[in-house]
Amino acid sequence: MKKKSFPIVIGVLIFLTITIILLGLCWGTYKISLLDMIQVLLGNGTKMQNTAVFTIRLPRIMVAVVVGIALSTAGGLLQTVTRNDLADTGVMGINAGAALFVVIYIQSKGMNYYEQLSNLTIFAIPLVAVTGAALAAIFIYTLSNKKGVKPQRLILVGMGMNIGINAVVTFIQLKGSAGDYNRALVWTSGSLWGSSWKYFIVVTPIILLFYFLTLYKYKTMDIMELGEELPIGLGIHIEKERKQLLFYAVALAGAATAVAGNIGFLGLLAPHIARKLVGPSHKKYLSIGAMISVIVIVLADSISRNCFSPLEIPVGLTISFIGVPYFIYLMLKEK
Amino acid sequence: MEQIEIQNLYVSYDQHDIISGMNLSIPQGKITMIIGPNGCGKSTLLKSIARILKPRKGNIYIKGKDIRKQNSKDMARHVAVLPQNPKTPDGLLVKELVAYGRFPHQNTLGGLSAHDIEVIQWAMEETSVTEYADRTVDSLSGGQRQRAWIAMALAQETEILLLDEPTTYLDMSHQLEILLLLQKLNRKEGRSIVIVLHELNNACRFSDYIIGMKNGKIIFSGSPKEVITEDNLYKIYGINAKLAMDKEKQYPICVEYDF
Repeated sequence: MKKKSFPIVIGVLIFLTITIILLGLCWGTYKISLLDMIQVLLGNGTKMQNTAVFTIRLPRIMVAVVVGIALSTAGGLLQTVTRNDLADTGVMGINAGAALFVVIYIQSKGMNYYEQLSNLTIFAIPLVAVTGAALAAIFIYTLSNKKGVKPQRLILVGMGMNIGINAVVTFIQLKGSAGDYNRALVWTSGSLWGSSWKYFIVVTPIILLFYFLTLYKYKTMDIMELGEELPIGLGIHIEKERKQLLFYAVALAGAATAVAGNIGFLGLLAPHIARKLVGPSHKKYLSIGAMISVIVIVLADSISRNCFSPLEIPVGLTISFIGVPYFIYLMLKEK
Repeated sequence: MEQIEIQNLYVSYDQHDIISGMNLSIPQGKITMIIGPNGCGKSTLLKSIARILKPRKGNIYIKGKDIRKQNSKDMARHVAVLPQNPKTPDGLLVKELVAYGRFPHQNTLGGLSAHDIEVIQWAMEETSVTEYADRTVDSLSGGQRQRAWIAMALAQETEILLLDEPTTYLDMSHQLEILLLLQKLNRKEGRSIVIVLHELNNACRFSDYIIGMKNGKIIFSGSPKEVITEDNLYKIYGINAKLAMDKEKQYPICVEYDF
């Protein structure tokens, strides 16, 4: 795929993003047409419409947006740190670590559902999640560290951790709410069910902060792609930078997982497509990746909510359904 | 003051000493070449100076300062290193690669200044890669790619250049081009250049100071005229060489060799 011009790509993506968000807002059991939707957003909606949009759909979509930004950026960070395009926080067990801690925390409060939690508890959740993600990352880093960390080892250890922790999470959830497999699935496959403005307020500052911190480091990330030796010659302290970037990824993944569970694969898909569109320069592909990620997750969430109504499938699964075939197509097209 | 001072250096890998108890002075403002058989430790030596490898014991001083106590970016403004087989990210353009060489001189958010762009252009011209500037590095041939990497090291604008087998994949004319370029940089700008090289005759012709290594030890060091002797060549390579002098009687040429 030849690289496309940056302004065109951004233009198309912004258009797609707005379209998909509007689609997500209009599409639902309570139908609202596009023209009506514009009225609602301008403040002229009926009470029913306002509830549907402002209390239920819009917060959910906004949470999806920031989760999308977080996971794509975390994926990009991990791909740079491991110098492997197959790394993302889902695959490497960092999301799983976050999910594990959140699940334990919620159960320790004697509850099984977010809605029953007090405000204080809700505000503590992202911190718990980031702690879990951090511990998972430290564990993976330590296990891969034999006289220096080899990127390949990081991935393999991470993959193992992911499988292991997912199993533990499922077990804990099933034990806590016997037979309620749905709940377990939420955590291991990711779901935006029940998102509210509270969630949004709680994780957005963290996500935006680390997103911008990551963008700020774009040059360092570019140079870290040059291997284990050259960056030293250019003045970069590889181990220090690796740890810092890993920390950013952990914070982003933790915040995202705190409200959406373990959504894997998005952090892999979005940066990959972005790089194909605008090249490997971090200055360009990180923002493009974030946008692509938002489009995919909002679309996937809309599909998850509506296509099997009244059932809802976890958004993580839908993303795989959309993403995997496209991914395979890309791989086949590769020379 | 000597440019690079190595004292009592021990560098090991996997509990095994590759370099043991080495003492060496590399002169300032000269072209120094390190030669020796495969596995003798030449790359290890270069990488230790470049801070890529950490010595087990001993000290390395560049311009009188202990390299372990230097700030990384600071060092990178004075010493550029080009290791063997550098990795190329997919889809990276040649001009982007060369621009990386300016990293030690840039601040975190800054773009390329006018001076940066000047240096990048200059580096690309000197290595004859300007025509490939907008192509991806991975689409180039081995030799072209090597020149692009050298351009990056040049763009770093340092007084010391450390190059590990920079001409290995180049054909004769490109080898000559690069070595003449390095010689020019040395003669015109006084840059100190340390090169690990395999081609003996090129080493003899272009270096001011040759270091011959074997099994992690220095067997001889000095000007090519002094130290490249049939005896010394036998000592490090185990071959019987026949040497002659070049037209101007400045450096030895190996005209044939056998076991």
